[in-house]
Amino acid sequence: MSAAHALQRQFKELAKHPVPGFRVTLKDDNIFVWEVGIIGPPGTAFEGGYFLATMKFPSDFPFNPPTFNFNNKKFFHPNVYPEGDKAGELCVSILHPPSSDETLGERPEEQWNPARNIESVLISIVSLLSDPNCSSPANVDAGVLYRKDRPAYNQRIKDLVTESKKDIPPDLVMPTSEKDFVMKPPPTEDEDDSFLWDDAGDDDYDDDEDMDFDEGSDDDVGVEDDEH
Amino acid sequence: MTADTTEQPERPTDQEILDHIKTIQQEEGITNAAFVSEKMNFDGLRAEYATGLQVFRDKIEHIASTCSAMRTARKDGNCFYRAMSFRYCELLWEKAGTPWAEAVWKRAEASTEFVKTGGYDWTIIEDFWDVLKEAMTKKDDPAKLLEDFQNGYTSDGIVTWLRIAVAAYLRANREIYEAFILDSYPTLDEFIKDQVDPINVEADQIQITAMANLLGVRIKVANLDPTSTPDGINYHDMEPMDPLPVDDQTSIVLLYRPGHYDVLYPNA
Repeated sequence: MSAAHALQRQFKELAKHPVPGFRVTLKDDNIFVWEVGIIGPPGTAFEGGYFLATMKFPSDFPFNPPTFNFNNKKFFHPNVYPEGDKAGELCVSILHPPSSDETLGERPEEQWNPARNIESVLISIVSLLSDPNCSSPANVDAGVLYRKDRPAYNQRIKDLVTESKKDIPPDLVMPTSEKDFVMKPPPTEDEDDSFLWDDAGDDDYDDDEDMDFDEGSDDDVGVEDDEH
Repeated sequence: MTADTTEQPERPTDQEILDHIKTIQQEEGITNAAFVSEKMNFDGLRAEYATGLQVFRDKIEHIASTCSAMRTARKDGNCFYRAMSFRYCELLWEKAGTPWAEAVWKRAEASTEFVKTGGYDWTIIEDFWDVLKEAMTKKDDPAKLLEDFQNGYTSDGIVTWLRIAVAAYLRANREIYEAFILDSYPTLDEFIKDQVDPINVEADQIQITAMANLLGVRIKVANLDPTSTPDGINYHDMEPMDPLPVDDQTSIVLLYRPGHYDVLYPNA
């Protein structure tokens, strides 16, 4: 068992059951470097945007957290470093290594934990986009603008959205309503996943999961559905 | 910067704080120390307390006369889990094939059942169980166990598994344990989120008691504290509520001083 094995399993799971809101691919086939495309959540200032980021996993994953860097180094957000070596890096408690030190003012439960799955981390990051944490901003100016002058803040975000549109993959249908962001039930029939890693024993897990969902209905459109 | 500087008090960035913590740990030799050390005598412990209170020095001499050796665990907040699990695996190797070892294995495997119901993502935590199982399995070379425990993935994986198993055990026995934490936490779940789940948060009496009950193994902790005692040193004896169905009373023996646990080897 190793960090690479643990990552492969999680990557495979995400590829098999994509979660609305982002797309994940590997950079240069390297399991330690993921390229994440965040789809701007409908109904927020980020709607219509597609924000590329790079998620890097340490060699001692899952005992230490990944880092998350927006490819756009000028990504304007209270929780993203605006300049210096860390420009573009997201600063959020769930990506902070666990520490019994209380200086950060974070409860340990908010910090990285090896039992977390990456999917849940990505979901938290998507929701942090439109709901920033202003108590310890990495970008003070963005934090102040967010609280003091929301229209001006939203204009800065609109600029980011415009700039990001060039990165939208051609096969991606962008969501137009919050409904499109609802979790899509897994396909009722097993898809051919022979192109993915072999991992016997996963099948039991999938069967259990299928039971938990309602029958898939036709009008429940996932954001990655290219029929629309 | 905007003109609005009065509102933001001078505060180092999160990254600066994290880097600072890392530097301190490196300076204190914490991140370089072995997860679990070779067996050693008590000279190091004597030296640590050479200028300390007489009562500590008396207790150390008592330990030195009743125990043959100790092993230190890295002081990173996981020392109880590392020290305990190392001795647990070592005993399984030493006693391989005995009814005790068989009963311990059976209990460990049964524990996975309620961990599965504990609200964790089994596809992720199964890896940690696999790591512990691998360490529990006796190999030809006894040096291999210590070598395994120096591997970060193995050592941290075992710690993670044990934390999860203790949390699941506490939840499954809520009616027994909740009363003990209500002074400091509103619910048992809050306690678990804050004191059990996070890697690097040290174990206390409740976690140790739960561990003994979970594994079915007796855990004895020699308490190196400044209270004087007629017996040389006090042992806290955590006897499982549901002991293994064997006569063997083999214990895991640990040394406790405020904030830290090591392994102790009492004379036979």
